[in-house]
Amino acid sequence: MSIAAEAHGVLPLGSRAVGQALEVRRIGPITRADLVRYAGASGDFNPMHFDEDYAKSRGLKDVLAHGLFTAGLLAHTLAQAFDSAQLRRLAVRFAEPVWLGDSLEISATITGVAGAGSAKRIELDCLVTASGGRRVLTGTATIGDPPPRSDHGLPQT
Amino acid sequence: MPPTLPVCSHIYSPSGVPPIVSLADAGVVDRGRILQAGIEFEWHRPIAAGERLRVHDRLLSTEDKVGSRGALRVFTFVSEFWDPEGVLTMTIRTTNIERAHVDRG
Repeated sequence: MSIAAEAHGVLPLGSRAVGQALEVRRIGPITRADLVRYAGASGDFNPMHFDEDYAKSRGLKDVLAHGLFTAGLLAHTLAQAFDSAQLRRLAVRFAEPVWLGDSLEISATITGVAGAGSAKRIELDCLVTASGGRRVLTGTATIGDPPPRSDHGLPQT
Repeated sequence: MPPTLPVCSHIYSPSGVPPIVSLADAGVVDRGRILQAGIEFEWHRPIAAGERLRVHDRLLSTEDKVGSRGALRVFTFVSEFWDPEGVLTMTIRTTNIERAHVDRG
């Protein structure tokens, strides 16, 4: 597998506090195979993500990663650090392109903790930087318990 | 389920492509100048494997702006994922930009 991710820690559920940071996740360097694989998985075959000549004809310096490739890596990082069912909201801005060969660092820091029990909500600031420290993605996330299964019709387990 | 997987639901749509690509296929935008500016996911409840959801995509707004690199057009889409009982399970808001749309003449 060409994407190498370092193991990252999982914060204990009951000990979240403002200022805590998830362990930084490092991924890359991003290869053309990564981008083609993502194109196949997502169904987005825009050639600017794998065809260098096409990308340059459109004024880009090289092929660039799908924005959702980077957002998906961040979402996966959050889903690993928490429970994926606790991911309630994730909003990201793609600040700069992720280019072929970039290595990424994914980080998130708790900025707010509110409520208690099942109503507890944790807010995070998220950041993905690429080679050279470029801030390629900024975002915010909200973590919290989902509604009880009985409230949304899924079978009880 | 991977949390952002529903964003790929367009694979199963009649067009098979995301809404912004549908606009490109219709000649409304230049596919080679489309970039994604941002996206917001809201999970209203967990989605389980095997569920059937109905997805409703709509273009929320179109806005012309002038950025540091010239003119651009901003498209905001919203996709809602409804279960058979009429419960909203997930909302995705996507912002795409078309760079220098005035160059197309």
